[in-house]
Amino acid sequence: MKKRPSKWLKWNIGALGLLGLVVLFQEVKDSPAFEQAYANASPLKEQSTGQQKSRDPVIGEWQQSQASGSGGRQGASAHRHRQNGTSTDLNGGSAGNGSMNTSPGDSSSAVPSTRTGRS
Amino acid sequence: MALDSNHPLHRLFHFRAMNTQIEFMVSGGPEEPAYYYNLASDWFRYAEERFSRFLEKSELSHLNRLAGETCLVSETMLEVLTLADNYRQLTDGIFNPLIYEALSRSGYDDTFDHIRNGTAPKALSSGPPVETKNLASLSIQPAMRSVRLPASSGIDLGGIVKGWAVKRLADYFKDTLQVPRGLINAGGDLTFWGGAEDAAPWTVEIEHPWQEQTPTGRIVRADGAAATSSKLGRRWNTDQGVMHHLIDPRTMRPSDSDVVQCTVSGGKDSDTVACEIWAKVLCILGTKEGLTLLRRRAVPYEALLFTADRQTHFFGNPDSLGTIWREVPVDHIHIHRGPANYPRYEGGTRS
Repeated sequence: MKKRPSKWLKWNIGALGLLGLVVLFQEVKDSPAFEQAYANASPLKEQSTGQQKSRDPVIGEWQQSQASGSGGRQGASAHRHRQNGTSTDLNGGSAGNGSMNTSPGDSSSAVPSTRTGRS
Repeated sequence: MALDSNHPLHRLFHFRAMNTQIEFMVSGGPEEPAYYYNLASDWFRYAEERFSRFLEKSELSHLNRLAGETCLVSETMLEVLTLADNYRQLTDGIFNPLIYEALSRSGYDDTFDHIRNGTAPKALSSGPPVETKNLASLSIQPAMRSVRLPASSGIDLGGIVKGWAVKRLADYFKDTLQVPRGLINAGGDLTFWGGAEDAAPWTVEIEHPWQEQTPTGRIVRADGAAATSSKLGRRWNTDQGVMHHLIDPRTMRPSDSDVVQCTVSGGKDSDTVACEIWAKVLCILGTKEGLTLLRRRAVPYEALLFTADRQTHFFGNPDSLGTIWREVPVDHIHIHRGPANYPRYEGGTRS
């Protein structure tokens, strides 16, 4: 009958293995490569940037519409909302349908004047 | 405006949006002026697409079509509707966006550019008077981001959204983009900050009510806001007489008060929205009732009112005449020194 290893030996092997794993993880954690990768993928960093973007929800919606527009802006972002069985397609219109008449070069460097009055 | 035309950063951009002329100038920021111009033009386009009652696909048009039903709205719409409701309460209901039907029935059923180009008087439908709606029945649930308009009603946000767009964009430039000096003017609703130059204030001309394109005085300030409301600009002929766009919610008809034009202005940290709202309220209520309400609300703004009998009323600190309000013809002075701790809208909608 084969002799089974003693309990003491098994505990030694387990402890040594665990110690090896701890040392290995510690080495990896302390390496500059890990620190760099951690900094790049840090959820805290993402959260901070995200919070900055969405701190003002109105500006956030505007920026979202800018990002979703193409060629300057073909149309505002569309959102579909449902509540109490009601479906509302709350999207903006097309700039081409409005009264916008924007010319990027439409500026003046002469003495400018502004006025408040009948609009 | 007192500006050095040789200064490379003093470029005044102008474009049309929201059915009005936009003037825009910033300087001293870290980016080129064209960068800010692109942001500004996109912002006003965004606001128009969301709030125009003349664009079928705007969020406002969707809300009006679904009057009587609960709708989720964008954060942007929620903010403006909440702001409108705050001013509805502050003005005892004189500012009321539930005037869509009254405006349409008065003939303002198309963009004013189209109405202005019409030659024949508009034929108005003859029906029962428009029912007076109470904005309290406009149900806003900020936590749910939902709104319900009263059935068979509609809102028009033309009386608030220009000033709101100006204020919001200016705040974005000042606080987020760190632009130290600028001016944004949307059809006479404007804000300006940082002075036109170092130690040189901005100068804003006030248009003469009866001599178009002619100034009748100036507002001179380094920082502030101003807005003008007038019954003489957006008016049109109908088969029932001349109409204008300032609806009195008590009658749901164009106001027949004695005030034909009013300019409201405040100094540093002033709110363009407040200037726009109070200018409208003064035009709707008239001199006596309007100034009484401003005094009762301790509004920290000054006003210049022109009445139909061609008299001019100044409401504010007499020391401002000749220093801030320059070369303005004044027949009557109503002394008012507003408190410094007037509650201001800070942009939040959630409690």
